[in-house]
Amino acid sequence: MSKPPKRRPFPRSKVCRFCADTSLRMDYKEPGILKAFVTERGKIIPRRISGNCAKHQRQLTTAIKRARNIALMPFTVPRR
Amino acid sequence: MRRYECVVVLDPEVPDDDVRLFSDRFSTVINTGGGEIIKIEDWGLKRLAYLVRKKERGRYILFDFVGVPALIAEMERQLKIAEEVMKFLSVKLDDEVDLEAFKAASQEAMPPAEVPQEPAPTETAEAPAAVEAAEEPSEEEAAAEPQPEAAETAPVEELSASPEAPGTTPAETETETKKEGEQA
Repeated sequence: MSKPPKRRPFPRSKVCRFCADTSLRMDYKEPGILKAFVTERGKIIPRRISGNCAKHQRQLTTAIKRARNIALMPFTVPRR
Repeated sequence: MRRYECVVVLDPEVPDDDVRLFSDRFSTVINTGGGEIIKIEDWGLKRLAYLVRKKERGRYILFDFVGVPALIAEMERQLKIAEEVMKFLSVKLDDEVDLEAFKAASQEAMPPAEVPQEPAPTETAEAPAAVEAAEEPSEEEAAAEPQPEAAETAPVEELSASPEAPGTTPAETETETKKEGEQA
């Protein structure tokens, strides 16, 4: 019995974007950068998909959560 | 002394004069609490990611200052009381700040510090006043009184320091103080 081949719905980027480009800094005051790391519904994209390293993913998470707190980013985007 | 940053979201219906009064009020809070203001930024009206108090927009003000933990407690207490404040968030940026070194650095960085921010869309119908305000060099009197015609959305005020004794602070382990008003 052979299992069906697993499919990857998301293309996985292998390198952490923040490590690759040190000029790219995450800041809760700049939702423009953070927006790339949340889904359309406003959920944080997991490391396994975004390819971020652990350190940067942690920083990113705090940044996104702070931005949510002051209404710069949504907690959820309601479905229309 | 520690360096903090505090973003305050004000009610969008607060008039510009009151916004200036508000930032003056909190600068005095910081100064009397033994703090030192590095900068105050007005980001103007911004669209909120979700409704807060049933409002779609908010006026963002950023306070960047150096102070002791007790100052943050006092500041947040007053922010909670202030009626026009919809949300606020204080973040500790740095644990140990050498105030003297910082002052020296900011003195040098004075000319490039006045970066004009892009004005956020506002509903304030004060077009002629804005033109007037743009013409005058806003750097020198930034520390001074609120000018009635400076209805610009993005005055970056560099408040230079008053002489202040940098005392060593009782060490507390608070990483960050977050507060939120109500959420939509």
